[in-house]
Amino acid sequence: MTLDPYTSLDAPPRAFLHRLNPLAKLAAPLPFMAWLLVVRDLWTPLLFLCFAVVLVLVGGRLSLRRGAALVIGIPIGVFVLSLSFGLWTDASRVDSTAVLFQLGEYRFFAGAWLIGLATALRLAAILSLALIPGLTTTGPDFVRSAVQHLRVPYRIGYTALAAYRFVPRFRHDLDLITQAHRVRGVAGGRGPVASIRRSFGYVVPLLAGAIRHAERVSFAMDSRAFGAHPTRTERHLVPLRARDAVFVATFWLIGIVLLIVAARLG
Amino acid sequence: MGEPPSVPLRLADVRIRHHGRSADTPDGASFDIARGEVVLLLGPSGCGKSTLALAVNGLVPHAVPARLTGSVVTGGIETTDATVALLSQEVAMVFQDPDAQIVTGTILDEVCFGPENLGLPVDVILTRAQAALLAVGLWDRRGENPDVLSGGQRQRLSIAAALAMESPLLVLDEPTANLDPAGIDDVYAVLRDLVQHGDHSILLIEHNLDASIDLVDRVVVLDRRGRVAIEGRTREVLVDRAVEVAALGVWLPTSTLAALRLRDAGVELAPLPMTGGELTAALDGIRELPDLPRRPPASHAASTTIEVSHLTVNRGRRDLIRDISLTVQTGDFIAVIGTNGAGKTTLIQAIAGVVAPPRGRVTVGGLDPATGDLPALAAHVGFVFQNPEHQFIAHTVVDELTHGLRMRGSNPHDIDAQVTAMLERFGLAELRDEHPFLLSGGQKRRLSVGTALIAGPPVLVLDEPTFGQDRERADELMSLLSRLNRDGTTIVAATHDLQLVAEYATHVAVLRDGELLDTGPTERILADTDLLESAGLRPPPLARAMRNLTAHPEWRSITRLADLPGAPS
Amino acid sequence: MRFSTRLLLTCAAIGVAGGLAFVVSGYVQGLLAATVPILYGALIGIYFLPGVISQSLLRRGGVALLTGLFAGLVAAAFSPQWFFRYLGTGLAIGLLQELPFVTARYRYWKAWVFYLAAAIAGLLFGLGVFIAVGLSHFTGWANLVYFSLFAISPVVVTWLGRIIADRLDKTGVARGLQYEIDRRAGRSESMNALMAAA
Ligand SMILES: Nc1ncnc2c1ncn2[C@@H]1O[C@H](COP(=O)(O)OP(=O)(O)OP(=O)(O)O)[C@@H](O)[C@H]1O
Ligand SMILES: Nc1ncnc2c1ncn2[C@@H]1O[C@H](COP(=O)(O)OP(=O)(O)OP(=O)(O)O)[C@@H](O)[C@H]1O
Ligand SMILES: [Mg+2]
Ligand SMILES: [Mg+2]
Repeated sequence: MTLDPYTSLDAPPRAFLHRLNPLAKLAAPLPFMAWLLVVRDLWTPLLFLCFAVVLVLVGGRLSLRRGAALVIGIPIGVFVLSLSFGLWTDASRVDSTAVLFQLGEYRFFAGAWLIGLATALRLAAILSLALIPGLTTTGPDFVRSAVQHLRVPYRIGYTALAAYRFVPRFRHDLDLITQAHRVRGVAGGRGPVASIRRSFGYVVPLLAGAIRHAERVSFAMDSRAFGAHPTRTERHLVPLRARDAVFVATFWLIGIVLLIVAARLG
Repeated sequence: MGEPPSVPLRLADVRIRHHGRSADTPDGASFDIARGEVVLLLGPSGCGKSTLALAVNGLVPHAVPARLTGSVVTGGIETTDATVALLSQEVAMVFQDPDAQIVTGTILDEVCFGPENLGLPVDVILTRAQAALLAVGLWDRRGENPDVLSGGQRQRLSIAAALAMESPLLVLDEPTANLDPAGIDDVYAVLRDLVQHGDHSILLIEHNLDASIDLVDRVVVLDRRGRVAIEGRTREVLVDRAVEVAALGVWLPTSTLAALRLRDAGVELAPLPMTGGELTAALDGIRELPDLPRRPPASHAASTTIEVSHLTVNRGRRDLIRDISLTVQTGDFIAVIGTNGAGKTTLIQAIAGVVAPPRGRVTVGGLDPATGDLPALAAHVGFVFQNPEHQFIAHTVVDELTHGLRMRGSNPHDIDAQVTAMLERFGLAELRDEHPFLLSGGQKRRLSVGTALIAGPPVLVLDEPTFGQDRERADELMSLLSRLNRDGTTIVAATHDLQLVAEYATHVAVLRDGELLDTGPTERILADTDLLESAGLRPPPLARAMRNLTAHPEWRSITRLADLPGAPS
Repeated sequence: MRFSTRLLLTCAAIGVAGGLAFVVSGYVQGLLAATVPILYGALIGIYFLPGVISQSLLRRGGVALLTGLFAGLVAAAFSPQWFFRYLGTGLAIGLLQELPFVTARYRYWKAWVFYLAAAIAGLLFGLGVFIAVGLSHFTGWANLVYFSLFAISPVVVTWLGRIIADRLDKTGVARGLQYEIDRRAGRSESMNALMAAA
């Protein structure tokens, strides 16, 4: 999800995910993500992982870097996680299985690794399912459709839109405050403790400034009739169309098929 | 609207007390604004101008915690009986901070935001938006993100957003504070058009009279307590009663100030001029002018304090400043000028080591900020940030001042003495235990300067010391600086206010797009109109008036009020 | 109750700060999960930060939920892969934080309520994550550490959040938005009419 409200407008026709209603893109993967929380086998997460990645690559408009990160990063991540999770599993339960490697006293069992792998795969699958809406939706579009279809009060929706605009200002203020404290010699020593104490010193001026800013913005919004009526005119409609229903239905269908396949395999 | 057409604004004995305050500001303000009339509201800082502006559309008392007595009737509606939303169709607001008024992601959305809230049909909204954006000359850029606009353009956008409300009354509270000259011209060009079409009434709060005076019909001056002290047609107030106005601590147009000063020297300009043009004409009309006072030659200590050689600073691929070389002598007061984004902040931050410059490019009093020995550098260079709140680190005024001394490990007894002295000097004594954030703008600024000064650094670097200050406070601060400067402190200041530069700086460095166009003594730089124009700047008001003199060539080079003959100040 | 625009945007400001904190801690947590998963719970408390700050600064109903929502949205905008995680937890925690105070009809905001709530919420939350990540094979002591961290960290963050809120209070930026700590019938010195304005 990106902050710039206008990235979605110039999506090339190929990137069909960008032209779907955000809510549809959220609804489609949700049940399977829930299911993935409880399954324990290897195949289900593996299949959904592949499905999600393919879908994002085909239907989303990704920068080369992101695409690469997806294709290369995920397998690496899964492998690392599988080892570390495996490391922490209770050896006594799996010591019947083969020993993969041994460090001094410690022996790493294949069983432990498989358990770690399952966990890692489930995490990866859940994440990449979340990427389907995540990489193809802009924050403002999501907020708009939530206002238009989920009965979220528009005053809250538009506050959220304003919140997105606070972010760059926050960054800038943080830079300034950090510099200011540096030159005023608030350095106060090295090490994690000192740095935590220091950053704690930034928080208050940062927040105070942000709240002051928020107050001014609210005055500007009020003076422009914000909240005058229970509803307001919307120029950017984010409609729920037939294609959204089709997308969700197909997605669920494929999902069920994948579940069956997984059940067959393992 | 109400039949018969109601007065756009009628204030009757308005008193407003902010939550937690003991005095009313304003304290009994009464005046009207007629259709198509442009009223300028003047008054010393803190007298309640902004508060009054917020009362006009009901933000006081509906959104700001304050008690309002008396009556504010906007477009025939008693504000206390109506919501801010309803009143927004009678009055539109433009505030000081451009960033704090932008809500949406594109210029077009921004202008449509108000009408959308009114629930108008889309085609109506779009016609309104187009009209408003065409009026401020931003229609062609409607698809862009407001963040890419310059300060002046953003303020124009805010005006467009206000116009799109199509409300008969427009209230602007210091719409051009901290904009560069081009930005200010932008904004007033737009307002001038509006006034010519004459279908808007305008309530203008503005410290920069030189830019705004020619479009004002009527002036209302509040006194320190927030009561209407003087009211009348522009000329009646600013000319006929100029002395009274000045006595209230309110700034007059530079030309009027010049004339008042000349009057002390026995040169009577009647009627007093308000604009540069009038001053020029008036002076040319006089055959004999007294000799100019001889300026004491600026004593030049030969020693160099700051040495910048071929300094380039870049962020990512972009050069913020390019190949800048500059030397500052001990005891100089050098002003760094340039448009928004020219690189002023970047340059002075590199000099003070706020952002470490490349090695070997900068030396300040023998230290290289790049090889950051921060304590040593901090002891040598005091830096004052544009926004004081950024640099406050303590929870009381007194701790704020003590901090610097503790850093240097001076002994507690001296610390107390020094801090008390500093508090006295900056008139903060009775606020010593207040939280820095609770001070007024001017007090915050003085405190931030105090914190930079207290360790007694020989070099003081300030980023837009007059930012967000009204002229009175700005002047007070600048005279404090020049006092320090006379006592030998070297001062580097980035600023937009060329009249202040003219009055106080000994030297000027002119930046454009990160390059140093020229640097030298103030008189020479400010006299060089082509140079300033090419940097996107304008000569200060007085210089503009003087350089057109025909009858008195020897007066043409004058840029400072202090250079005029007058009572020795 | 109807929120004033100023209140909404104040919550947004706190929410944005919280959201950025979410993002940072999110990455650190990823690191922990990959290296020493049993410490995973140590940072979970961050999700309580926006709610705690807004609640102990403003002492009004609904602010925790709002700040949670805004924090979630902002954080989600930064790391899409955690879209549901941030939005979900933001809302869930916010809601959780409303509960203890709604029981006193938002009229009682003493410190102990915050801490008790944080502890309980922490345990519940821990359970949830426990099921999600399901490292049911931790050796005994590791389980203990892993689990207790979830309960402790919210309490610690609550402590930090209340300090921040207290200092913010001193800056006076929230003037006119705040309610008293104890507004129960009789206790409250008649609620400030000015504050009702905001
Ligand atoms: N939100 C607030 N809470 C408490 N006091 C306030 C608040 N806003 C303004 N004041 C006080 O009310 C008085 C009038 O403030 P106001 O900003 O209206 O003055 P002003 O004429 O606009 O000054 P300036 O020319 O510096 O803008 C000042 O003493 C100020 O400290
Ligand atoms: N951290 C940064 N990263 C990238 N660009 C920056 C950064 N800081 C400043 N800039 C850019 O560098 C240029 C010079 O900035 P700088 O703040 O020095 O200008 P300035 O003269 O101080 O402007 P102003 O009068 O508005 O303060 C501007 O275009 C600004 O957008
Ligand atoms: Mg003001
Ligand atoms: Mg600057």
